[in-house]
Amino acid sequence: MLNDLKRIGLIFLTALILLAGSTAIPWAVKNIGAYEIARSLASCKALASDDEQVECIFHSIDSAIEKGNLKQGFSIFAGAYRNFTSFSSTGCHRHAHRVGDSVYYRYYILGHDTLDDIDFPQEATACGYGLFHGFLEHLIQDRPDPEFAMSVCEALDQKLSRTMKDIRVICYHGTGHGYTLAHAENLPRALWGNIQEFITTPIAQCNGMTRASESEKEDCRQGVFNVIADWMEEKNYGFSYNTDNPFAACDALPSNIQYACYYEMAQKIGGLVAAHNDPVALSVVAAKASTPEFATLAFSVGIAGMIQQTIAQGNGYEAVLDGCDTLSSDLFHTCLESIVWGLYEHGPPQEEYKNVLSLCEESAVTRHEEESFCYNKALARLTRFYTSERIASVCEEFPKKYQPACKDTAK
Amino acid sequence: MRLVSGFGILIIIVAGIFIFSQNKQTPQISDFSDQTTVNVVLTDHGFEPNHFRIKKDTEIVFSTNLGKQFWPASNIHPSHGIYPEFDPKRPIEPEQTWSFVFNKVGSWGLHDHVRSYYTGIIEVIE
Repeated sequence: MLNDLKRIGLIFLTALILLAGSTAIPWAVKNIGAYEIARSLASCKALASDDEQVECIFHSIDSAIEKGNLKQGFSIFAGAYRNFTSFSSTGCHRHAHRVGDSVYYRYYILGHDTLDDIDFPQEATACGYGLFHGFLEHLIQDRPDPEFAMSVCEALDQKLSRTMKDIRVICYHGTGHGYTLAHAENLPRALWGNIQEFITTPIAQCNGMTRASESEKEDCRQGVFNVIADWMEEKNYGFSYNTDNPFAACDALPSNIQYACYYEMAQKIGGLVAAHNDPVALSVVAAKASTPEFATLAFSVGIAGMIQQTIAQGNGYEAVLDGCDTLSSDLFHTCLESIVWGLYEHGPPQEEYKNVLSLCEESAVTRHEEESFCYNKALARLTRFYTSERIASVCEEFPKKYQPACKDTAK
Repeated sequence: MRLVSGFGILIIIVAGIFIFSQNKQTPQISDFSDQTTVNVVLTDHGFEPNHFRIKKDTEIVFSTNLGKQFWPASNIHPSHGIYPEFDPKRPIEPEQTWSFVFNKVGSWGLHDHVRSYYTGIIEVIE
């Protein structure tokens, strides 16, 4: 009888230890990880300049990547976004590119030259899939072969598209970056600043991807002009951004590539032309476009570009929304869609939707009777960034009226 | 008694995880503080040496064996703002070298502006 009691007691004790262990160990691992991230970022706070802080943050991110923990690298990335204006206001997409550079070097070049071994976490969608832009632009820069590029995009699509809906499109865009970087290395200095010389080969490579759809080829072409627009901003390779008419270079190009050119030149207007990210000034610049279609495109893309500049201020959109409120109803409508887009592309990782929900509640949105449009645009972007489980939880934060449609996107 | 032992084991496991998580790798830093000139070569594995210490006013001579243009510059890519003078402002042809004298004390992250995945750190002391 006593032995039976002892046996029961021992089983009970073992069960208790296992239960305590199964609860405490994951808790400890999670909290130690959070503690380590907070501690490494705390040392960055003491640094004086924005650049020093960003360097310090990347030291921690690179260290996590080097140890094979990309997910922790992104936890640091997200923590830095939340706690450092120096990080969130200096180009979240750019910073995500840099993570992609590290991933390419550590896991592909020093790894086994294959995508199979790389475990991209969902957080890799952060800041407009910047990680993939950085990763792919170098992958293709080092192997500028359309057949290879298509095989990469198909592999990524198969591997990730279930939870990262736009990975294929992003891949073709990054491919355009890579073709352009590779081609620039072969051009003599005498040709610097000659846009036609810089784009002809990369555009032909984009168009030569036989298994890509027309819209994927267009994404590739936009990737080509994205690099050119960056070089204009940075004054690299003899390029400079034409602040008097940003579209003059596009108008001189063949008509079939003008859309891609306008799209990318417009991204820079907020930072380089329209003072203080003013939508009214943007509308004046956009009106210089050669066609009404391009003017609308330029205004739309320009607004999203402005959000990238203002994202760290307040909810990230107030000043831009106020400016758009003074414009025509048509422009307000376009503006609203672009603010939603900009907030998703440049917002806090995995929490991008929050500022979008605040936006849809703004009185200006209600006054223009655009509330439904706003929420529907908010819904349309969820699958770009989140898993279906995450979408199901995000839907709870939408107004009741939009929750059924929201949950449908998760299916 | 057994209950105490059980919790003791649990505490040891948690403490072990904590100590393991604190175990930081010490970076390998080459010391060239006794040299006035240091050669850095960009190879297919990146800058070699990659993380090193020099004295202020040391000249670093950058070259490559990749057979491709290269562009050593200070971080942050692409603005090169942490040490703006450390930037040739153009790609360097593969057969050429580019030299820079570091006259600011500090820890300077660098990268290849053409292939920004190649990075390094130069620590400049008095």
